[in-house]
Amino acid sequence: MPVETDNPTDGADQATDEDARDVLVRCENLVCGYGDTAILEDINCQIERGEIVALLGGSGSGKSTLLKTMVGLLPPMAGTIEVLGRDPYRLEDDERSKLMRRIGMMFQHGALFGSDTVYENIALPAQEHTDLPEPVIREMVRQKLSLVGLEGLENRLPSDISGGQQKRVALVRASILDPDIVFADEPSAGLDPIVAAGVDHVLRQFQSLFNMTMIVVTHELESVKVLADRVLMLSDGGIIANGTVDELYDSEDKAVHDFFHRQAPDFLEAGEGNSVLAALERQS
Amino acid sequence: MEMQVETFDGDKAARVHMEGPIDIDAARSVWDTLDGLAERPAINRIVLDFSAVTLLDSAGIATFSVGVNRLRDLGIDVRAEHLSREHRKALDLMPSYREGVSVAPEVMGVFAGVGDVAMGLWKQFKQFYDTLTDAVFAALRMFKGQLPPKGSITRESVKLGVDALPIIALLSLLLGLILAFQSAHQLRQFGANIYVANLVSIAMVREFGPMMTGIILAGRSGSSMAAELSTMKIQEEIDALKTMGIDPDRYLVLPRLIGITIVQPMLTLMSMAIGVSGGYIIARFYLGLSTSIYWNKSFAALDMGDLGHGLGKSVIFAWIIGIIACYSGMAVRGGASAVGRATTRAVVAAIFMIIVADSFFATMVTLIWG
Repeated sequence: MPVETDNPTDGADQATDEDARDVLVRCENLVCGYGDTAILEDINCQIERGEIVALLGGSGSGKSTLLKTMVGLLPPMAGTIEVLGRDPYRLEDDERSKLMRRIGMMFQHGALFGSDTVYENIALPAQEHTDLPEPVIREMVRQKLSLVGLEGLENRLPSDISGGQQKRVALVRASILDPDIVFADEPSAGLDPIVAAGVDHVLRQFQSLFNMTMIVVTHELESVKVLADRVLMLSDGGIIANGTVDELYDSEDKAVHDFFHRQAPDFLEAGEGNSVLAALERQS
Repeated sequence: MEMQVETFDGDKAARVHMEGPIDIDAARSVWDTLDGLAERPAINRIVLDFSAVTLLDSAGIATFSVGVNRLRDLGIDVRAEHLSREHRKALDLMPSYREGVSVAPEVMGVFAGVGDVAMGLWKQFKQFYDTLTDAVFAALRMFKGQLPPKGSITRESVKLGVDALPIIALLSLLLGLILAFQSAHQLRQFGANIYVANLVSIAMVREFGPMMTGIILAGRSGSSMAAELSTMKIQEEIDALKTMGIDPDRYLVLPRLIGITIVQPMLTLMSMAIGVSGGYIIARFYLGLSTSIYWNKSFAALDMGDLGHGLGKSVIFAWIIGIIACYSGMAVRGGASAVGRATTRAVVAAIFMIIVADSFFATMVTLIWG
């Protein structure tokens, strides 16, 4: 049963309240999915400036779908979504371009341009959206690469660096324009624990250095503990919990409890009276 | 695995004694044994004796699950005996056979199939229309200063055109040779050798130059465009561009369309010239025509209308190749096999459309200008 994470209140009061809290992402009764198939329904949430919010949930719970809807890659099927006060999917090209300049997106597999070098990948948003001279862009790239321990890899192709390095390059590319919000889809998935911890550390560091708001999709509990100020947990087509890691750890909701305490699901049991054994022993 | 079937109770009951592992190799003989018992009408009770079964794998369990269900449907009482603790545990874990639940793909009826194909075609048409209009609007936005990335048009022109130069030159030369040779053979009988020059020049400039260049570029450059864009789509690179606020049409489609629009007429012009030169080789060395006569006749046979016709068509062919390749690449969904499908579709559709467009041109020009 999805929970309301923030009940919309009366217009004027709500606007004042939101201004005071500097809400950067707001979803109201949002329904999102692919084509005609709704994956998530009745999503209500607000994300404030400076927060790191983890979108947590099992495989297929709709985390990436919600993230893609938030960045305008998928159309909302119903309800409203506002990122920095605008619906990214419905904006005209120019307006959309202006909005996206204030947003960074780190894809699960990096989505680095395979035929461009690390430098060309990272510099692209700066070259497209600013008129900064090339030496300045080069210095911005070098500085940010040094923050993630990748200085000197500027001229390598993405295929020539490791998976963990690709993730860090993707993070640098997402944050090269110091966006207000960085969306990260499974930043530490598929990495060994040390590299994953490194990526989590870099995300934290970037958030504190540049006061970025981060929305991080993950199902890695270790990452959530290190990163998240707040957790939105998705399951059964909606948000089932909203709170800090500690609050969710102590939650009595079965789905939340099972997730945080790594309880195995019961799909390994055929169900009483429904097994091959029962069929063999059944009287004709 | 060994199986023994004993009948008792006056051949009305059977005991199946199994020995050894019932695994993926033995499952078939279990199935055949149960099948054989099902065909014996006298039998109304079967006892499966598991006492000597050493191993039971998933193929074995599935065989029992389906087989027992079938026997019961025939009114035969089936019992299992001497199941070990391990076998009970494995059998208890697996859900039993359920009627009507099948993993086989759903077979559509004729009307549903036709409807499905029609809807698919409509969807493809809409996607193609979207690609076309997006490209047109991206081109129009150039006048608002939203130009393709610096150097991208040159890069694409070189990649699409210059690299195709040798193959187009060689094939054009051979085409000119073949045309001249075949026509010379016929014209010689009437003492009309001289008209080889007219035939080759008009054919190369109006038809074969543009069409052959189009077909080669569709196969070579169209496929590479579609493969490149579809790979980018699958690897979320196009989504990455969108999230950076960069219009993929301006960044990826426009440079390719402009590049091919520049390059195709140039290659066509070169193809025309080399094809006519191929004709010259036959005229000079096979028919014995003088150089000046061949070239004078060739130029005299042509006017600017012919050249405009050929070059105009080449621009249309360039747009056909570019739009179809970009559409095939950008509309792709799925994995690596989708890249292959997109590439094949780009080439086949572009060649088909080039020939259709050429026929349209030939008909219209003949009807309008005679």
